[in-house]
Amino acid sequence: MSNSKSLFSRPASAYYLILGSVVALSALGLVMVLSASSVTALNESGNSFAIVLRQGLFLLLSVGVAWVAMKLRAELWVPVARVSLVVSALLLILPQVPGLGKTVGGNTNWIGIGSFTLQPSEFAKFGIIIWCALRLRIHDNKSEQGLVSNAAPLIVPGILIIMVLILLGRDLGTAVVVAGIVGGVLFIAGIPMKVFAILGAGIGSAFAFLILTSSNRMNRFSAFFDPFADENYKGVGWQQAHSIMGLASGGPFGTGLGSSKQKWGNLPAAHTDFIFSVIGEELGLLGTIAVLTLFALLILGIFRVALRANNSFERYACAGVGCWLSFQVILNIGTVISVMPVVGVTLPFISYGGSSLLATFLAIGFVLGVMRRDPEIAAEIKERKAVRAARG
Amino acid sequence: MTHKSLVERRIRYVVTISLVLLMVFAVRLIDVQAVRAAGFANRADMELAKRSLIMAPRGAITDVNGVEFARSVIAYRVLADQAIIDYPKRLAELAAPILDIDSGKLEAQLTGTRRYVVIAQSVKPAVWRELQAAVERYNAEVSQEKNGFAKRLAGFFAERIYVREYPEGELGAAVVGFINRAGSGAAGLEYSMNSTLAGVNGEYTYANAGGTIIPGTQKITSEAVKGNTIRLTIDRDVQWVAQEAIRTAVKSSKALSGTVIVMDPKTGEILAHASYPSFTPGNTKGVDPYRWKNPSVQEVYEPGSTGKVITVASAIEEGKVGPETVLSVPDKLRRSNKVFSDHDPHPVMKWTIAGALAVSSNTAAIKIGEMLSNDQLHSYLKKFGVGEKPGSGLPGEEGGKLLDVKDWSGTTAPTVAFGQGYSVTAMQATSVFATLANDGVRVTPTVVKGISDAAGRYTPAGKQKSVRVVSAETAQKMRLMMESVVSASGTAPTAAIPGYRVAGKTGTAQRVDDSCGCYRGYTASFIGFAPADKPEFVVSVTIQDPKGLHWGGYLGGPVFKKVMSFVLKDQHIPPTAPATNSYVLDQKALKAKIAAAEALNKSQSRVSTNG
Repeated sequence: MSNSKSLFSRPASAYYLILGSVVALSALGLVMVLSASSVTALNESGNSFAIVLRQGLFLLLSVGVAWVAMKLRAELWVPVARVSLVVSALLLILPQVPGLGKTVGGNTNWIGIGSFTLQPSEFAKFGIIIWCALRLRIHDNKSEQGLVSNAAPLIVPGILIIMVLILLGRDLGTAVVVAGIVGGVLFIAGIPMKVFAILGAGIGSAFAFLILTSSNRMNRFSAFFDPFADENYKGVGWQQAHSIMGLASGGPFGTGLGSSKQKWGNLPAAHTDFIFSVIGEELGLLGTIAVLTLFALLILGIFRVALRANNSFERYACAGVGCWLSFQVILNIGTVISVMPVVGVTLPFISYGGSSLLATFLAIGFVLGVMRRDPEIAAEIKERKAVRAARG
Repeated sequence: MTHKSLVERRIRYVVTISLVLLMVFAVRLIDVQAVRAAGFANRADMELAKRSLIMAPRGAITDVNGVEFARSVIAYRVLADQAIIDYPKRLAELAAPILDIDSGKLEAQLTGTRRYVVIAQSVKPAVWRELQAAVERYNAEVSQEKNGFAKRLAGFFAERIYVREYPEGELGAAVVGFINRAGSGAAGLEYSMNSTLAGVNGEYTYANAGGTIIPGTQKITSEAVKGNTIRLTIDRDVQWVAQEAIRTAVKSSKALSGTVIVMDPKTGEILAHASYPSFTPGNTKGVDPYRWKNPSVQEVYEPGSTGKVITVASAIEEGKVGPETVLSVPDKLRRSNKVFSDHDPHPVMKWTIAGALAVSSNTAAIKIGEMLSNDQLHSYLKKFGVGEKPGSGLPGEEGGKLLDVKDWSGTTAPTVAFGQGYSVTAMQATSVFATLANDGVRVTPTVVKGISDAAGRYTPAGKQKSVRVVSAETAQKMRLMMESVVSASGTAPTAAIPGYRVAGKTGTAQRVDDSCGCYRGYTASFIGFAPADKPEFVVSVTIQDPKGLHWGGYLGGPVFKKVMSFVLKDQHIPPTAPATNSYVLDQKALKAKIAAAEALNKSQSRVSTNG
C-alpha cells in the first residue's frame, strides 16, 4: 500500500480522509434531517425546524465530545476501557428503571430526563469496543510470545451479559450491531476460520430458529424479498416498498432538495432509519452514490488507522470502531434498498438522533486521537498547517 | 506468519468485505434509481395521485334588465375529520353557536374515527370564515400556555360548493323552475335549458400522502367553465304587477288558479308570465307537485268566447262578411240533436258582426261559422296555432286538442264556432290575439331574450318564427271590432283604460273537470291589447274555476286594466287619440249611420256648388 506516493499513501491521509468524510456526512445529515423532518416537526410542534434545531445542537455538542476524546492522553483510555463493560451494563439497565425508562416504538431503550431523552445503548456500543480491545490485548501479548491463546473466552462471557441486557429492552437493532462488532473484532483477532465458521453457524442458526418459529418474524424477515407482493405491500412490506419508490422517484439526479413526496406520510421514519431513501429521492443516484463513497472513504480511513496503530489496544479499538460503523451503515442502507430485512438501525452521522451522534463522534474523536499521537502523522499535520499558514 | 501480520490480514479482509458490500449496494441503487426507476416511480405517482372536482357555477337567470331570478352563490359544506379531533367537547362548544347547532349534538358528531362527517350541508362563506377565525383565535390563545401546542383544536374542513338562490322568491317561479339536489334542473327553464345553464366542472390533480395534500402538487387539469346566463324577456316589474293582480283576483274569486301573460305581439317576447298559486323555488318541500307545473303552457281549457274571434276573423278573411254585415240572430239554434243558446234570452236581433262579437253571441258565431266549410274552419284554427305546441321553449308545453275534420260530428262545427269543443293553453289563446294585434302575423312566443357565456359575451336569441294567418286588413277590422267589447255596451267595460284605445274579448267557457271528464265550473278569461290602433302589448288573463260571478269581463277585465295600465306607463307608450270611427252594432244604428253619411254627402255637395 505504500508503494505509490499518492495522497492516500501518505501517513496523514487517513486523518484527512476521516475528518473530511465526517464533516461532509454530518453536514449532509443536518440538511437531510431538516428536509425529512420538517413535516413531522410541523405536525408535532408547529415548528418545522424543531427537530433539526435539536440535531444541530447535538452536533455542536458532539464536536466538543470528539475534541475531548481526541485530546485525551493514551494512558487515560486504559482505565476507562477497564470499567467500560460495567459502565455499559449500567447504562443498559437504566432504561429498565421505572420512571426513568421510556419506550419508543416498542423498544425500551431510552431514558428520559425532563424533555431530554438519551439512548444509553448507543454509548454502550463504544464502551464494548474499548473493553474488547483491552481484553484482546492479553490475547495479542500471549500470541506474540508464542503461547497458545484463545480470543473468544476472553470476551464472550462479558458480551453475553451485555446481550441479555440489550434484549431485555427488546432492542433488536443494537443486539445485531453489537453481535456484528464482536464478531468483527474476534475475526480480526485471528480466530481460526474453522472456529469462526462454527461460531457464525451457531449464531446464524439461532437467528434462523427465532425467525422460523414465529410466523410474524418470518413475515417481517421475508418481506424484503418482495415488499411489493400483495401480502406484504399493505403490511410488513410497506416501509421498504415506499423506500424503493422514493429512491426510484429520485432517478439519477433527484427531484431536488426538499421535494420528496414520500416523506409527507407514506414513508415512516423518514428522518431516522429511512433517511437514505429521502436522500435518494431528493438528490438522486448522484446523492446516494456520493454518500456510499463518503462512507467507503471513512471506513477505509478508520481501518488504516487500525493498521498503523502501534499498540494492540488502539488497533483493536480502531478496528472495532471500523466494524461498528461499516456494519451499521451496511445494515441501514441494506434495509433501505431492500436487500436486507428491516433491522431498525440509524445511518451514522446522517439520521436524526442525538445519542447516536454523540456516540459516533466520541468514537471518531478516539480514532483521530490515536492518529494525533502517531509522531510521523503529527509531524505531517504540523507541516501542512505551516504550509497553509504561509500561503494564507 | 506472525500474529500481527495475521491481524493485519484479517483487517484487510474486513475492509474488502465492507467495500465489496457497498459496491453491491451501488449496483442495486443503479438498478433501482436508473434501470428500473420508471416503473417504481410510476407506481409511486399513481399511489399519490388524487383527483378532485372544481365545481362550476350554474349560470344565472335574469330578467330583461339583469335582475336575477336565479343565481348560484358560493357556499361551504362544513365537514369534520373525527380522527384528528382530540377535544370534541371544547371544539363543539366553540363551533356550535357559529353554526347554530346544538352543542351536545355537535359533540356527538365530532366524536369517533370517521374521516368525513358532514356537519353542515351548506353555510354562507362568512359563517365558514367566522368558524375558522374562532378556531385560530382559540389556538393562538392556548398556544401561550405551557405545552399549549398539544391543546390546539383542529378537525373542521370545508368543501366549496355552489347553492342556487332565487332572490325573487315566488315571482316567476313557474317560468324559472328549480333544481334538484344533484344540482340539475327539475322544473321550468332550469329544466328545459339545463344544458345551457349548467357549467362544466373542472378537475385538478394533487399528490396525497397519507391524507396530506403535498403542497405544490396541485395542478388544474381542466378549468371549470361557468354556465351560461339566460336573459329573459320577462320584466321583473311587470311580472310583479301581474303576479299581484292575478293573486288578488284568484283569491277574491276563490278560483282554482289563474294566469296572466303579457306579450309583445311584434316579437313574441313575453314580458310577464305570472300564475297563482305559485311556490318558492328552492323551498319545494311539501308543495303539491301540481303547483310546480306552469299552468299557462301546461293546462288546457276550452277557450269559449275568445275563440269566436277566430271564427269571425276567418269569415272576414274569406270575404263572407264584413264588420257591419247585418245578421239576424235568434237566441236559440237547433243543430243536429242539440239546441245552442245565448247567454241571455233575447228576441231575434238584427246585429252587425261587430255587434254580435261585442255581446258575444253564441248563435251569431254559429251562423258565421256556417258560412265556412268545416275544412276552412279547421284550417284557420290550425293557422292560429290551435292543436300545436306554441314552441315558447318552456318545458311541458301542451298543444291543446283539436279533432280532425273527419272525426267531426253534426254538433262539432257549431260548437267549435263559439270556442268550445277544442282546447288551448293560455299561451295559445294569447297568441291568437297577438296575431291580430300584429297585423295577422303569428310570431312564436318566447321567454329568452339572449344568452351570455362565461366570458360575458352576449348572444341575442334569434328572431322568432312567424307565419301570416290573416291579412293586415282583416286584422285591422278585427281590432276595431274588438274595441266595442270594452265600450259601455260591450262585455268588458271594466277593461277600458282612460287615454288609450283598448281592444279585447271576454271569454266565459264551460270548464272540463279532469276528475269527472265532464263540464263543471267555468274558465273566465279576458284577452286584449293596447293601443288598439297600433298594438304594443297583449295581456291575457285566465282564471280557472272561479266561484260566484264567473264572467270573463267581470273577473278578467280589472286584472287586464291593472296590468296593461302599468305596462303602457312602464314602457313609455304615449296615449292614443280617441277612435275616429267605429263599427255600428245593429241594423238600426247602421241605418242611422248611412242616413247621416248621406246627409253629410248632400251638404258637402251643396257647399261645393255654392263655393
